Amino acid sequence: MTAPLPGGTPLLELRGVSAGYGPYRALFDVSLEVAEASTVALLGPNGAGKTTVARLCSGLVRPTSGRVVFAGAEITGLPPWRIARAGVSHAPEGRSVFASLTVEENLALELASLGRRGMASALARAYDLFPQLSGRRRQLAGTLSGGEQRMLMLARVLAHPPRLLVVDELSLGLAPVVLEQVYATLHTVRDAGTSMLVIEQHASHALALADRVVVLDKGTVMYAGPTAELGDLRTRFLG
Amino acid sequence: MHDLISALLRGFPIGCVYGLVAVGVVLTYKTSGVFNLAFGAQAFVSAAVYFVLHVRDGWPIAPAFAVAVLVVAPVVGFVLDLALFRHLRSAPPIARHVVSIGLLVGIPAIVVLALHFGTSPAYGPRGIVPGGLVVYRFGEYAVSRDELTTIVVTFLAVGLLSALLRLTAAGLRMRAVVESPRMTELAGVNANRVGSLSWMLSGLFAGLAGVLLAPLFPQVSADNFFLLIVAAIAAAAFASLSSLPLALVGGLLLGLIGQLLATWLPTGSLLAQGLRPSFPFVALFVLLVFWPGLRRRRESTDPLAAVDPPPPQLAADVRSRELTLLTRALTVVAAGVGLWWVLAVANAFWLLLVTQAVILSIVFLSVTVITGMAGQISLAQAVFAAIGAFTTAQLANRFDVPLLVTVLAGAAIAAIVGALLALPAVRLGGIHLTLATLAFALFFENVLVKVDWIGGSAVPPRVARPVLGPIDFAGDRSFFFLSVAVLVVVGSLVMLVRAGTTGRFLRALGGSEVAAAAVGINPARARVTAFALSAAIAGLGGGLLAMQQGQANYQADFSVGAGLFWIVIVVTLGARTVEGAVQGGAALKLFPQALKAVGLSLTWQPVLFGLGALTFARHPEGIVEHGKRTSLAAVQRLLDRRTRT
Amino acid sequence: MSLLVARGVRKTFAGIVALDDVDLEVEPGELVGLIGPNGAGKTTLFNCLLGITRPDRGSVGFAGRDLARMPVYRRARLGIGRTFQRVELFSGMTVRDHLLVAERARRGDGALWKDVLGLGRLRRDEVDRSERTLELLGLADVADRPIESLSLGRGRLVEVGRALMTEPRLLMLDEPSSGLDRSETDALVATLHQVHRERDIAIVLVEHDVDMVRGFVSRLYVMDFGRVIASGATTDVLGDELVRRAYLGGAAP
Repeated sequence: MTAPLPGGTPLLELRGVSAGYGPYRALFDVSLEVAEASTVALLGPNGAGKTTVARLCSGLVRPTSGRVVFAGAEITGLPPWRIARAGVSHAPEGRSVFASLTVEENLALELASLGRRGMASALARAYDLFPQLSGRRRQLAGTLSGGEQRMLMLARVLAHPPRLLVVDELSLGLAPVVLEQVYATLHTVRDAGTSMLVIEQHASHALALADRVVVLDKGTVMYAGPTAELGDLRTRFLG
Repeated sequence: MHDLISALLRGFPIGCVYGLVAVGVVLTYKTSGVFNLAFGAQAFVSAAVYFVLHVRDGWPIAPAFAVAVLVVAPVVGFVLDLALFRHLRSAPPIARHVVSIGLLVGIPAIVVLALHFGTSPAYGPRGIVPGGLVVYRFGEYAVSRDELTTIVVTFLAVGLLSALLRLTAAGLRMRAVVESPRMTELAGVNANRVGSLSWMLSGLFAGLAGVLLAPLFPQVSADNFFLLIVAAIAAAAFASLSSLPLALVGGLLLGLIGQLLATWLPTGSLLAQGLRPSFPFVALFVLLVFWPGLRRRRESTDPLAAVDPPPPQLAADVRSRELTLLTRALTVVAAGVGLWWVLAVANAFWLLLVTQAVILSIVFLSVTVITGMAGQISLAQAVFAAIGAFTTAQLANRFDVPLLVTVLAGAAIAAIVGALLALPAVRLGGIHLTLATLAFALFFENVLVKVDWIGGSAVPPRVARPVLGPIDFAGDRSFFFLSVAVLVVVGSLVMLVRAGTTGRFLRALGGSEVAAAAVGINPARARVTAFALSAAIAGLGGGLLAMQQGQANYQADFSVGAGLFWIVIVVTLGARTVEGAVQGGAALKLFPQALKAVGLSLTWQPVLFGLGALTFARHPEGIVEHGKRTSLAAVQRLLDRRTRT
Repeated sequence: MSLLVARGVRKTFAGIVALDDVDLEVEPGELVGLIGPNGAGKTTLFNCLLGITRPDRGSVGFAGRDLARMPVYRRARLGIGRTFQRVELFSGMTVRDHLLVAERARRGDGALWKDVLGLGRLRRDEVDRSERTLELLGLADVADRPIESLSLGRGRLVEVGRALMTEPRLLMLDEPSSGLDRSETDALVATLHQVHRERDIAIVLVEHDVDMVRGFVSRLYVMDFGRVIASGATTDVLGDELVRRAYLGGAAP
């Protein structure tokens, strides 16, 4: 598919991966790469298999065939916690927070490996990113509104930026104002050197962030290349 | 005043004991998401090991305690997690409940086999401090050293545990894994390791509770631990399944109120005899139905559950037409051969056995309705059968009502009782409904059975065989035909209901309750209907069983333990189909003969079926249905290959 | 007379005011939108109207009847249909089964004795009615497929179809475009328009997708901090400066 970028080895590589859920196949022989310090937008209509790609990256779904390689090491079939420790952070779609834990506990769980001092500064960074959360540290996450829960989930993965960030359907259920704010944060994170795989259905925000685009349709890659060259495919696949 | 204080003093250690187990139940629930009905069985393991080492083999206290509580107990927890619960974290709650019921049936039987309790029962357990019976006196009040130990250890353990869960990173991880192991893994935490730790911790706790409890009874037996866990569950319900200190408080309250009732109620009255021993069950039922903390609680769902493949469909849904016809033909042939065998070959003993199997198949169809169709687990099915049996006996003996009428009346009364029980309980759903049925079943067993106009006096009431016009069913052969006829009628009825409105509504409710309500389906009504129908079927079967046996014998045929075992058998073999119920009836009656034939103890039956229920998580359609499906698929492949070549 | 009337609805959760004195009216056959930022109280209001949450104060009426304390399923039978933001489908059933269950529910509660007598089986006219709805929604080709094999967009149409089988006078849609791409959203809007034309059902739409709202509803309520901050004809409201600032931010047209 795409050759490695000159000079840079790919940070994440999917090689001929197929995957599915029980009898339903979601991906067929998909190959894609995310280069070191780059951002890839993964676009495509609903049901194209984008979320399955995200789950493959973080190990939530195991491929039925093909390989997943991260930072030169094979991670195919590893449990999600090993992949997370290797530096892949996955922000799943939907309201993925621990409803029965407080806001602060949600953050602390993710940051436990940083030690006491590291955690304190990471928490401060999280509340800086989303000041709305800082007044609700002791509130149960399940009592937050839908948008606030999305913020908390992002705060969790952004408080301690990983090597590769996989975000799935960020715009889902977010009001435009909040969405702007969240994408501004992602721009900062990208500029600080974190690689990203951004999955979106509404393409404009993701395209502004990414230097490469992969378009999925019906579980296969329809296009992969620089954002600038997307051209008329943009209208054909993204409406 | 003196009575009050001494009642409180007596109630306090018992309350601690309830509290200790309640804390264990809440701990397991909080850290693993499993409502571990087998917690009492785990406690029994340690108590039994401690008894064998300390009392039977004469080891000193310290090493016996170390092995029984510090080694065996956590290992049991570790093994349960590694072999079972780890694989059930993302399974639907019902799978976890079935597995814990399977363990509840299986573990004590394994202990009895392994430690030879069957041959030499364990009388005279001792506590974990030397001279446990030494009594300290404060004025006119007395406390034994064993009781003091129980109190101190309980408070210490609860304090340490609360601190661990609240204040430590390990505690936070445990709570996170309960809610969503997958999200916890995304945070870089090894959910499996956290789970193992939780289970070892709660296992340790069960072991500790076990050795502390054992000296309260004259004998180490699994039944005592089972009743204790019911009281403990009431205390856990009081704590809304979430607060460890409140669980302790709940246990203490139960112990104290129990003793106060003993002191104040006039001795000899039905209230005193009935209410005091059954107080924990009444408390559990009332708490389940009315305690606001539990009502607000919903079994939390994993936001990432969609990662799982959809649950397997019934074999009937994926069969091709030809294969369906083939299976039906085979069923007819098998039924024909069976009938021929019963009529031409079987002797009186086997005829009785097969008739019993047929009647139990009818009873098990009640499980098909409540578990297979409505997706709920009821532990009161044996009680509904008993109601059918007792109604038959009482109406026939006291009022001379014809027996076929009494059987139908028994079914009707069982249905009414079932509906009355379900009315407050169905909106709880899930494990809470299961527990409410268990509380009711225990209340029935401990109080109502002893009432003269229900369970009769000390001797089980006698029941004759029915007569219908010129046909007398007194003969074993004619009664066999009657049973088969009833089975066919009830089986078709269940199939009609499944294909009809009630079945559709129940399936919709199983798919999504909110969506079902949004199109105008009344969830409570559909579930109460299922419950009443199920109870009626069980009642009908119970009446037939009493006629076949010649008596309505509660202890032998309808006890709570029997009911537990029935559930385990049916869900193991297949709760979703009529065939599953029939196979369950056959297995329950014919399996012991097979064991006898190969010279094994009957204790192997609960072991094998208890462990069989563990397969429910992987094959919720039942192992027979699963086997059928795999073999059908193989046949299909063969046919395909044949047609291609 | 208005079809749906909410007056002075107030709801607090653990001291936080989720809804504060909210009024809302829907006329028969009207297309109404409800928008607002996250946490504005849209979902809470939705739940209060449907009977999932009980308001602390205020009243909800439908077709002249007071809905206070009426459970969800009875409101459904009065003629309030709905779809879910995160689709709620009956797993293990086919698309057609979904519609047939709803049809059966519309005909009144299932009596067990009918099932026992074999009267509970499928009837010809039920199948015909479901067939017409499948045609209307363009689902005829997947009618006998298990629901799990459908895309989210199709799944949402099944939800609409299921609601239509109950012959609602009011259809409440909870963020129907969430999870759908632009073309799927457009297709959904087109189908909803057709449904509205053919069956003259009032529709309340809770949405984030401003484009969808603009193209679909004639009247709009905007909520923020648990209050209705603006209401009126769609074009007027979307032009309102207050709304712009609260909701649209930089993304304003």
